[in-house]
Amino acid sequence: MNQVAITGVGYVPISEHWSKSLRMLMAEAGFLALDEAEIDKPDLIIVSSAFASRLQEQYQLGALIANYMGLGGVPAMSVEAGDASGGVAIHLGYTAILSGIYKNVLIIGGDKLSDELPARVESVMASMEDREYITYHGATYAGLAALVYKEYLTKYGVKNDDIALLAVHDHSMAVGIAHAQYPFPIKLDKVLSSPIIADPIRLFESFGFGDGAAAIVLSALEDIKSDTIITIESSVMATAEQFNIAQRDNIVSFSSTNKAAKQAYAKAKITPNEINVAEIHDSYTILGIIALEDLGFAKYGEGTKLLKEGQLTPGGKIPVNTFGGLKARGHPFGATALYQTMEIVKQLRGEAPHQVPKAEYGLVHSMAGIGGTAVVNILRRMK
Amino acid sequence: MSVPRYWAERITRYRMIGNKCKKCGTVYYPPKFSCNCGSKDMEQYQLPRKGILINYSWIYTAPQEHKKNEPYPIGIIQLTDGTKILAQITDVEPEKLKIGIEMEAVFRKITEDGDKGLIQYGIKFRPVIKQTKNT
Amino acid sequence: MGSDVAIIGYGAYIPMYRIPHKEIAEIWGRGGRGIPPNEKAVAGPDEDTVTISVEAAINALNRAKINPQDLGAIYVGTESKPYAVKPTSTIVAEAIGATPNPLAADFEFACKAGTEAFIAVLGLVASGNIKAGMAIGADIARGRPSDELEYTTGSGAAAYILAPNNHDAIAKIEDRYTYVTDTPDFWRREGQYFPMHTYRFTGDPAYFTHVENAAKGLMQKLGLRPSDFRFVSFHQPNVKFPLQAAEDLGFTLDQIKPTLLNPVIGNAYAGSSLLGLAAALDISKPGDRLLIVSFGSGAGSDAISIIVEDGIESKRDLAPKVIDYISRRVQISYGLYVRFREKLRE
Repeated sequence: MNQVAITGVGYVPISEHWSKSLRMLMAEAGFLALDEAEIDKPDLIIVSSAFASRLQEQYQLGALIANYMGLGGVPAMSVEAGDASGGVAIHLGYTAILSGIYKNVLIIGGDKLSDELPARVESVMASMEDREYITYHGATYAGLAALVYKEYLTKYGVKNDDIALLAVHDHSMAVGIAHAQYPFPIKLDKVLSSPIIADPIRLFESFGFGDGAAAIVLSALEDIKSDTIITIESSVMATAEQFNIAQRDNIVSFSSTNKAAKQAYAKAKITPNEINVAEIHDSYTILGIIALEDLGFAKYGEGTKLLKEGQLTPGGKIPVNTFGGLKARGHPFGATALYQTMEIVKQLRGEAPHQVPKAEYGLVHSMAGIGGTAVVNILRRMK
Repeated sequence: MSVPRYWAERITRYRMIGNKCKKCGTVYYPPKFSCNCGSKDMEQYQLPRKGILINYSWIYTAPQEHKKNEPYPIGIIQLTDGTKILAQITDVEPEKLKIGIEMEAVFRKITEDGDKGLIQYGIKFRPVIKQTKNT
Repeated sequence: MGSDVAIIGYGAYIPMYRIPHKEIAEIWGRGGRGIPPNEKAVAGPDEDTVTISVEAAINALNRAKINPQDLGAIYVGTESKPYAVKPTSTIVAEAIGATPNPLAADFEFACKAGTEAFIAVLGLVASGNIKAGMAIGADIARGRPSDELEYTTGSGAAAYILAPNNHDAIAKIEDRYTYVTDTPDFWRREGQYFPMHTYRFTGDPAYFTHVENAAKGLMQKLGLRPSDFRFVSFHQPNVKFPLQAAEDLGFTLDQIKPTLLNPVIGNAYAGSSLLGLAAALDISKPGDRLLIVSFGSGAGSDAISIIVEDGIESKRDLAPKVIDYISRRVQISYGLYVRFREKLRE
């Protein structure tokens, strides 16, 4: 029976790459992954970008990148699902291999937010939610996450500080990480005194705008030659039961993540307790706390408990975002899930700076906006 | 903003007209093509114009088209029929904005395409105006 | 005239913000010298003539209790329409659910555009051409920075629904008298944003000649005297002019006080006298006779006499009153005023 292995990873540092275009960053990452996989030419290329059609005004990105990499002729496609673009791209690559039609799939994610002025980027980001009825009224990504944040504080009686602590965790994990956007520690009071972007969310509780590209190669398992085999045990995607946040009965849990996670665990035949290390989608600290709950690592309302008890560090019960997460490693939208996956692969290979001892199962959580789409991928070190 | 795209949504926006599933009674605003319950039997539905503010946030980093009005509040209002709607909040001093206050729908400018382009209108919510009754 | 037309609904709207005249004077270095001691209403940044018209219209519909589909005409009188070409009235019609039936046009006659619209609707109803119609006077007046007019350029809207007189009527229209000449006391050229005015020329040859002739003409026509009216609403470019006109014509302070909104909202231009009339309706009793005398620069005056009917008692409370909008007050600085009304133009 077919299984899917990750045979190569490649990535560029996340920062403002003024002199490199999006296609350059993608090609760089792509070839690094292909080289590691020892493959010259993949059977399929899946390009993931949330915003290239608006920020770079570029469509048909799959064909463009394939051609730019001298791989013209190879089937290629472009995938967009907001911040979950990368997760969805990986999911598609996974299904492509399982179909038996493609043996080696190159997945490259990238986005370049520095190409446009911040207010325009805000507008583009807001377009991940309903343009005609949500963002029409001036709602931003941060603004909607802020509504979730407020509701969470009221519902569970939790303090701001406890949520903001996740940013401190992310930063502590980014220390010593070469590709991280902000590889330095930060204190809680600095987070809490940063300017408000959408009350109560502060600037340092949010990802920063940056550019990045990361790639992985998926291969059908019987073609693997290497000693360490990392497989994708399960990959599940789900959309929100109710896309419009106003109409949800419960805005402090995301049905997309919850559903994808439950099914991913079932298909991998494990429980959340068996996950040794995870990458969770914390574009805003509150979304990360809720992810801990939706992914089954903490009871609802108790995400901050795990954090405060230090359970999210490499020695804790459920090490999370061990390369800095979306806050400190960075969040170049279409590339993010690829960075997350590469980071779990490094953990499973035993090559992580903040190593989780004997990591066998890893989880990658990719989510779009305020939960419109979510993908949960469970990775495993076979040997 | 594309004129044809704006024009196609104007009735839904100006008059708060959603739709309702005839089978299970769920109300949607904006309207959905078919219901989550599986039924495609939908009918037009007029939303009420008053409700209670159940959540809000002040936006400080506005997108380009709303930059002029920074900072402004957005909120979720639960209308008198139970339907919830997201809208911008207007005509309120920051210290008077609280969860639980009564709100009413008002027709306001949402954005405009510079000083040559189309003006986009829609519904915002403001605290209800106290009415004196004649003795 | 002898038509059987009545007001079956009326609605007002005044924006929330206020700027005291003192605040404006201080900015322009005029502290202490002859400043009017009052304030004016300032529309917020998300308001324009369309939005204030819509709210007044909805209030009028709530009082009239008719189906908006029955409106055969929606006419908006204004001199601050956001589109020089594209009627305010079609947007209002769409927003209140009157489309696709009604005649819809914007009228311009400076501050008399509202009563022009009113009389046009009156004619359509009286002739049986439409079942009911709405006339709106609305303005967000523009004051050139540092000009004296800046003290008084206010904002407001008033909407009236007219239909054949029936048991539900709020007030029946008794008659009207118009006095119009080519008198250029105030104007705005094509392409210009702020208007021009002619200082003292706006007094006797303009305001007083037209207002007093229209009022006298109507009273003569109907064989009435000032004491036959309970309240009178004059156009209010400032406080002095309507008080002077009242005195000249023989009206008392009590007759004009409830309609004198200028000290609080400034000059609402095409909405001014119609808002004063709404304030009068808010406190009138069946049988009261009310007089409205508008004035539009350019120049002209409409004097309309109405008699309050029984319907006022049950309909008055169905929408916010003028006093409710006046009580809703948030003071702003000159800086915020400049920002809201976009006086810094690129």
